[in-house]
Amino acid sequence: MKLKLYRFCKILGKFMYVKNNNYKFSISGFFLLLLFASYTMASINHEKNIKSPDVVIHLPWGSGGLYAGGVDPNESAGQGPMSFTINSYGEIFLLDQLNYRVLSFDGDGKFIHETPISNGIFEDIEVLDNGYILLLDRTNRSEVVVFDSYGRELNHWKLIGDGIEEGGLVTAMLWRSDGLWLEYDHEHSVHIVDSNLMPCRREIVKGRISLDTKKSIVASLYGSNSASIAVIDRNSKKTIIEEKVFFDHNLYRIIWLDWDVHGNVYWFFHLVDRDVETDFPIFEEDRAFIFKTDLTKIGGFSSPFVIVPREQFREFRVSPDGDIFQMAFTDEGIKILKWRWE
Amino acid sequence: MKNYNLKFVFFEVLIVVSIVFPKFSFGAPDPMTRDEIICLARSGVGYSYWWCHAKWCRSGCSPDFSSCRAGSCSGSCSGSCLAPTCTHYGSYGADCSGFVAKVWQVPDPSPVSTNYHPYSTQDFYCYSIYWSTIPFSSLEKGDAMVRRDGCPGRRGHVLIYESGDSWGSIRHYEASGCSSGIVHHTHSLTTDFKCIRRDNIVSPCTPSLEVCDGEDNDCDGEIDEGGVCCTPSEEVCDGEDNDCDGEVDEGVVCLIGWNLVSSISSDINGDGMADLCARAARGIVCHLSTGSGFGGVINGPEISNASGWNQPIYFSTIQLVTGDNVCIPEDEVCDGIDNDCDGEVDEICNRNEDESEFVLENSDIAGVEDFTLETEYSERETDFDSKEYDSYESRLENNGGGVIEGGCGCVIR
Repeated sequence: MKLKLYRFCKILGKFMYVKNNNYKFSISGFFLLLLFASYTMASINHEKNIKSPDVVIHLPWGSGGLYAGGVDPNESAGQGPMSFTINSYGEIFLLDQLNYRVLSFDGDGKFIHETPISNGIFEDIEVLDNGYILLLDRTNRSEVVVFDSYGRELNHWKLIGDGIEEGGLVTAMLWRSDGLWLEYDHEHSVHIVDSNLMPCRREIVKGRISLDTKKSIVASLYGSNSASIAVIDRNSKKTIIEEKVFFDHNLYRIIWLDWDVHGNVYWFFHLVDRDVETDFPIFEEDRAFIFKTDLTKIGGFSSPFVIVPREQFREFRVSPDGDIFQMAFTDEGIKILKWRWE
Repeated sequence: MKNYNLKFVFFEVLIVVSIVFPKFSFGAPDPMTRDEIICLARSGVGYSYWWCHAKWCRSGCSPDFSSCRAGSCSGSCSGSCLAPTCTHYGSYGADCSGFVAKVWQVPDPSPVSTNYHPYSTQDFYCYSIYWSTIPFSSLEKGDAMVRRDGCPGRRGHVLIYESGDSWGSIRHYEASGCSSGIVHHTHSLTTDFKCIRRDNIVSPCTPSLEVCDGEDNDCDGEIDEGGVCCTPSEEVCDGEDNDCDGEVDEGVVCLIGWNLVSSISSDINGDGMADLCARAARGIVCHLSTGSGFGGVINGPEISNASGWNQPIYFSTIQLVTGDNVCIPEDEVCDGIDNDCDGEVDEICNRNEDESEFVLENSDIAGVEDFTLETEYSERETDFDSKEYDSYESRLENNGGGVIEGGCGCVIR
């Protein structure tokens, strides 16, 4: 950077002259300076978009207390906490299923409460404003179970039915103002229960239901280094707008798609380049894009915290007011990172 | 002593070769199709995780819990096979490597109900025994994905790949772990998995580009589909896709509904009114009934053919007899026609044979005006292309006597 600045000043000097012992810019020098200022401002604006993440929660691997359950066994899949979520008050809930509990923290990461749960096979979590906890069991009993904040099981609903042929292919559990939706195979969303937690007619909408429930978004990989997105009106089922994003690396998978209350869309990707000979990754990072409702890009960032052999079902979440959280696993434990953007 | 050492070295070498290069020692596993692999994988779903074992029951591609109850597992599994750190209840289940070996039927075919655990993830990851490494981009259903923290390493996992979804998540079968057992689900997988393919996977059909050869080259169950046998030409009304665009008789070439013609009606466009058609060697020409007369000429297929258009069901209001002199024998009735095709007309009637004009009363056919053959023909002469019908002009039978003067016969229907 210093070298670049030195070279720039050297070039700039060629466009200056001395008059009455004062340094003056020639016209071309003035324009060059203007260009440099514009470039600098643009860089600053870009940098302003995203700040470095804050580590809101850091729990070492372990059991009980402020530890997170994780296993990395032989001859089976490793596991860490499968999921986490943020409620409308900004509180963070961690599904620590291997320790048979849900941990809750305030927005600053201060521990609030521990809710015991009945078993360790849950993979996703949503928490309602009244404190009820919804947990997704995809493959064992294939149901959504609702607990109160004391860990008492209140109700459960089977996954299999219209729109859901197999519990293991449910790809997301989403709480919306009109109730609970389950996303199936990243293809469509199924309305399971209404806002009063009563089973309802299983409406099926294409793609992932939006936060305001008026739209849905269909996203998919598009070639080796791009992805497409289409916003669909829930009632008319017509496509409102479509967009594609392109990357300078190969796109391995779409990680997550979310909304905030302002209608901004958050889209997360896992980029991987592989060695031609060994096929092992030589470049790997997560990347996030933020769009306005009309899919105009307004921000983005890269994260080095990609998934590790300890499996997790959720990696990113967006709070209703637009804060971005990432659950990252390290050798020492788990970190809940909060990515801020302006 | 020297001989003993030589024998010992020989057997040592043989053992090492057998382990490191088993393909040379044992050959390939029995052939399996990808569908057979997935079928076996599906049959294990719902059984428990059982450390160092692989055994369950199936009914076709489904698990058979009525014969073999699913067990359960508690704890976190590690340690030796004889003294694991987890506890299993029941007699059925598998760990991840036992599951994959059973589903792949390696090294030998063995029923899923037979307990057999020949390999660990170390074998799948570190060696190519009955399988080979493939790139991630080449994965197909029935292949496996294996990871290991080294060779020999301490920890690993292996699973059966089924497909990727639209987000790039991976649908797979696996003996996931002690708490979850054998499952089929979609999950994100880390990029440190190595992709491996069982040897001797066969297909009843090896997919290739579909070509025009009477074979199902792309293995989709269809033969020569997708217009591979099509040579583009102008679309005409013949029930074929002449221009190879995947559509048959589209556009304006089939204005009239030929298929609506029945043996009892000459209503060829399905509007409820009898239409007037003539068939000749080089084509069929019709006039659609307007209700009070007939409209302009509509051309039909260029060439009549023996498979269809010569049959009575396709006869329309008028069939102009070709040089072949088509006649369908029927009982002779007194109607001015040679019904029995014996060359005589109304031989059962007392018809005056020198009658110069023969008038047909067609009032029983809705929408068709009464006309005389001679008049009708002359009226239509300008419509019927003279080039096409010249040869019949001189052969018209004008007097209704049943004898073709110069020789044309007309069938009235």
